[in-house]
Amino acid sequence: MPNFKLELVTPDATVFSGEVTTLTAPAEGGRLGILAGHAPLCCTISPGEVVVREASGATRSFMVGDGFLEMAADTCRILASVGEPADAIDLARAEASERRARERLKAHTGQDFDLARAEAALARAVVRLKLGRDRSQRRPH
Amino acid sequence: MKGVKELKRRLKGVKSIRKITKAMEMVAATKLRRLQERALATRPFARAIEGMVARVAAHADITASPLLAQPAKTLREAVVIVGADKGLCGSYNSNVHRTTVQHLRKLEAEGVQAEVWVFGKRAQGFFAKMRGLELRYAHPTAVEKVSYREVAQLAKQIVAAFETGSVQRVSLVGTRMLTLATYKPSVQALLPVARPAGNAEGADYILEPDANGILARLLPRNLEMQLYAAVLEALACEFASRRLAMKSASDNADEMSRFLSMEYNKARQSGITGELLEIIGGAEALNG
Repeated sequence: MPNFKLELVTPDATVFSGEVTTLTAPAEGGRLGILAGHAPLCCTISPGEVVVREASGATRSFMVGDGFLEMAADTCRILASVGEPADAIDLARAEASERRARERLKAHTGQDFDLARAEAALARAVVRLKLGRDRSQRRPH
Repeated sequence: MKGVKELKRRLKGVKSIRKITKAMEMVAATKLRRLQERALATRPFARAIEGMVARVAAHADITASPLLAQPAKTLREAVVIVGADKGLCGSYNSNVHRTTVQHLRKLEAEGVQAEVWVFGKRAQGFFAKMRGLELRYAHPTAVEKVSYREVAQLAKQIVAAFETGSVQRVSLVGTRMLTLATYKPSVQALLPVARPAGNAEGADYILEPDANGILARLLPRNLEMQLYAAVLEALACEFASRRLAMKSASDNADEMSRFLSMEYNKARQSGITGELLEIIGGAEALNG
C-alpha cells in the first residue's frame, strides 16, 4: 500500500513524524480514516485516539487532545493541544486528573470557574484512561 | 607600603567578582541551551498552524470569527510586553523598554489610549510607574517558568477583552532572535487578525464542519501559539544577552586582575629594592 507522511505535533513537541499507510483520527463528526491520495481536507478533532499503521506494518496508537487535522499533497498534519504515545500514558496521573476534573465539575461554583476548561480536562483524562487501560489489558505485566 | 596593601585588596576583590560572573555565565549558558531547544520545538506547530490559517481563511468569510473584525475606530490598544525578571543581562531590558515607550508615544500621537499586559518583574516595575498607563495584567510567576497552559489562559483573557470591545487592537513587544548572537526588539500586531492573503486552492478542499467553524477555533489557537512562541523566543534572547554580558564582565575582570597583579608585583619589588638600598646604605655608612 502506498505511504503518506504524517506529522503529529503539539505546541511543545513533535510527537510523531514519519511515513504511514493508514491513519484513523477522532474527527469531531466521527472517526475518520485516511489513506494515501486522500482529497485535501481540513477538519477539527476531539480528544481521542489516533491509530496509525507505519510503513513497516507496525501499528501505533497515540492519545491526542482537541485540535485540527489537515491533509494536503499527501502530507497529513495533526495539530493537537496535547499528544503522546499510548504506551507513555501515566495511568495514575490520568486517574488523579479525572477525579479532580469531576470534583470541579460537581462543585462548579466560585467566580473563576471555567466550565470549558474543566470539561476539556475531563475529556483528556477519560481518553488517557481508556487508552492506558486497553493497553495494560492487552499486555498484562 | 600603603600602595601594596591597597593593590592586594583590590586584586582580591576583582578575583572574587570574576568567580561570580563566571558562575553566572555558566548558568545562563545552560539555561540558554534549554530555552533554545524549547523555542525550536514550537516551530513545527507554529508553522503548520500558520499555513492552515491561510488556507482555511481563503474559504471563510469575514464574519467567521470576531477576531477578524476590523474596528471602525480604535480607542484603546492592549500592548503585551515580554520583558525580563532580573537585570544583569546587558541592554536587553532597556531595549525592550525603549521600544515599548516608542510604540506608546506613537499611540499617543494617534490619540489611542494604551494599557499594558506585562511579563517580567523588571518590566512590570518600569511600566507600573508610568503615569496615565494602566497595567492591566502582570504575569505573576517567573517568565522562564512559563507553560503553554498559562499562555493559553492569558490568550483567552486577551480574546475576551477584544471581543467585549474594551480594546480594539492588541499588539506585542518582544525580542526576536535573528541569529544566535544577534537579537532585536520588535513590535508585532496580534489583533484584529489581518486577513491572510491565501488563494483558494480549488473547490475540492473538504472542510469539516465548515470553513467558518474551523477558523473560529483556529484563530484563538493561533493567537495562543503566537504568544507562546514570542515568550519563548524573548526568553532565549534574554539568556543569550545575559550570557554575553556575564562573559564580557568575566573577561574584563580577567584583564583587570592581570593589570593589578602586575602593579602589585611592581610595587612589592620596588618596596624590597628600597629596603635593600637602605640596608646596604646603612652598612656602607657603618663601614665608613
